Amino acid sequence: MAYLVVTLAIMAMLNMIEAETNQAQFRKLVLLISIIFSSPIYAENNGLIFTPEGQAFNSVISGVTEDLVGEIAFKVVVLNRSNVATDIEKHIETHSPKIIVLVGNNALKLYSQYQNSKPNNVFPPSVAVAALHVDRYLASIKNSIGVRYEIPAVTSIVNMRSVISSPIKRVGVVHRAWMTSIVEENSKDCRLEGVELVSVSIPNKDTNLKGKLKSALISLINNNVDAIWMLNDNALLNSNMIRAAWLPALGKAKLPVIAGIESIVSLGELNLASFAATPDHYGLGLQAASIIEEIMERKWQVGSKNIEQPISVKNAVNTSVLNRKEIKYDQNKLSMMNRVFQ
Amino acid sequence: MKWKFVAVLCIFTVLSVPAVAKNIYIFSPVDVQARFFQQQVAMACPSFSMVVFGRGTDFRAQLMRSPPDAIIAPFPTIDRSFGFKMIVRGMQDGSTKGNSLLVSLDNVFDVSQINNKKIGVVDILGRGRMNEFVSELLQADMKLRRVSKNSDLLRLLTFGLVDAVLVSKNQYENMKSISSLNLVATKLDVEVGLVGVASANASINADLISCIEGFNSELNEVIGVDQWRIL
Repeated sequence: MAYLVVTLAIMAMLNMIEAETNQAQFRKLVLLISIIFSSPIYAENNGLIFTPEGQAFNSVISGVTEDLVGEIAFKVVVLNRSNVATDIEKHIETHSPKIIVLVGNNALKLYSQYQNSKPNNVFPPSVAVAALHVDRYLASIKNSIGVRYEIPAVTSIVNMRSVISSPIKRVGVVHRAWMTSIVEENSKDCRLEGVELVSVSIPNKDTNLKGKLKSALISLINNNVDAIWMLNDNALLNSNMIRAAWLPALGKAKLPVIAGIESIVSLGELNLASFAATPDHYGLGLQAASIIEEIMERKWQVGSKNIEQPISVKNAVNTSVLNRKEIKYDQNKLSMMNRVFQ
Repeated sequence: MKWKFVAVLCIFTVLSVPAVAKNIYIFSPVDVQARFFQQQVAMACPSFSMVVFGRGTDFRAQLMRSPPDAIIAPFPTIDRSFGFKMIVRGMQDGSTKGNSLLVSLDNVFDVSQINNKKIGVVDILGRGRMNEFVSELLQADMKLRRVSKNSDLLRLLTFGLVDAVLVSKNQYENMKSISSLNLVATKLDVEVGLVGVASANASINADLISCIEGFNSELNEVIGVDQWRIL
């Protein structure tokens, strides 16, 4: 808009000048002004953000846009379940973005479909954020990079360890077989922090999955782990599994349990999880902005396709669960927690 | 009789006008949660309206929108905030400045090779100004990875997103207290001013100084100082 106003003002000025200047001088002036205004310093970088609705996603967008203000003018497009890949195509054709930010799984899915429909196209760089299992999507999306949404075990464990008084050396985790490589990757990071991730794998599908989960949790307790890390796997973490497996196995165990969902910690009466590490959505946006800054420095090249772990998290603790389980903690460290449930 | 009535009415009007607390903004990207920090400073300074910001973007936006009477912030932030005059400087171990360290994993960081390395920092100035500040401080051109809080610096190292992080001695000690990583500190020959107090309203200075001097040792430790020097 400012650019338009300035242009109109200059045109009015030129009209006045034309009346009083000879033709040759006037042409030189117009040429000079054209050269100046076609210079890259006046070019505005356009960006597109595809996102679902929701407060968490709005925080991601704030993190991105506030950090890059003055560098990239972002157009935010809200997607819902009724949108299709051609909607993505229309916005890209209209806005010609230098960079695309894909927030959430639906945006990733639709963008992937759009790319697949145009196999010979060259696509601008894109950054994926706040989407589950982003690795799987980005494998097939060209010119893209992303930040994982799942909080790594090492982050959760180190943050919990800073509050709990007793040593945390061995942390147990039960996972379905398909998550083996994810657990192994998490295990490597934990080893750097002197923590052993003790994992038990159960089948991806089983007619008695809750029985398998309960047995696996009991085996970890018998194996003297210092804490349990709950993976965000819908098949293992739902109300049915909590009732039938998690609570019977862990309800009386005096172990800190780390969840990836704050609601499990806030429900103190469940007496299950005492600690949670969850995404800091604004921080995710800032991290995406840093990645975009690097892409800009590389003249809009993605560079290596290393998907980043999330840096910033929010921590929650439930002190009544800790107290009931007789787990000692440092009161002074509670001020570092984003939420303290009692 | 009539003038007595008017006089009483005027006195009543003046006395019933509510006293407006002076606004103090505190910007402190420490690991202690802003709401907890705000409770502590509000108790220490009940006559002021204290607002704590954990994030630089929020602090800078509110500073522009509704300038306060005074700010408490890191020295580089105050140095670049217009309309405020420094009245108190935080000190640690007798100095108003702190040494900076580059912390890396496993190996000592070769400072002579710092150009084009990725360095993690807590952002206290915003993207452009932070890049300029660190470039000038270290007399080098490196790529900055900015985070909004201290605890995020450790993760930059854990996940190999930077070659080193630029921290104060306090920040380094905090990192060592929670992490078992082999964190190696390289001392730099540069110092950065600690937290300061700057005022835009001289009429509040005396009360503000008195309130700051009343901060207890726990509060001072959160801010990163052990005493205050009045200028």
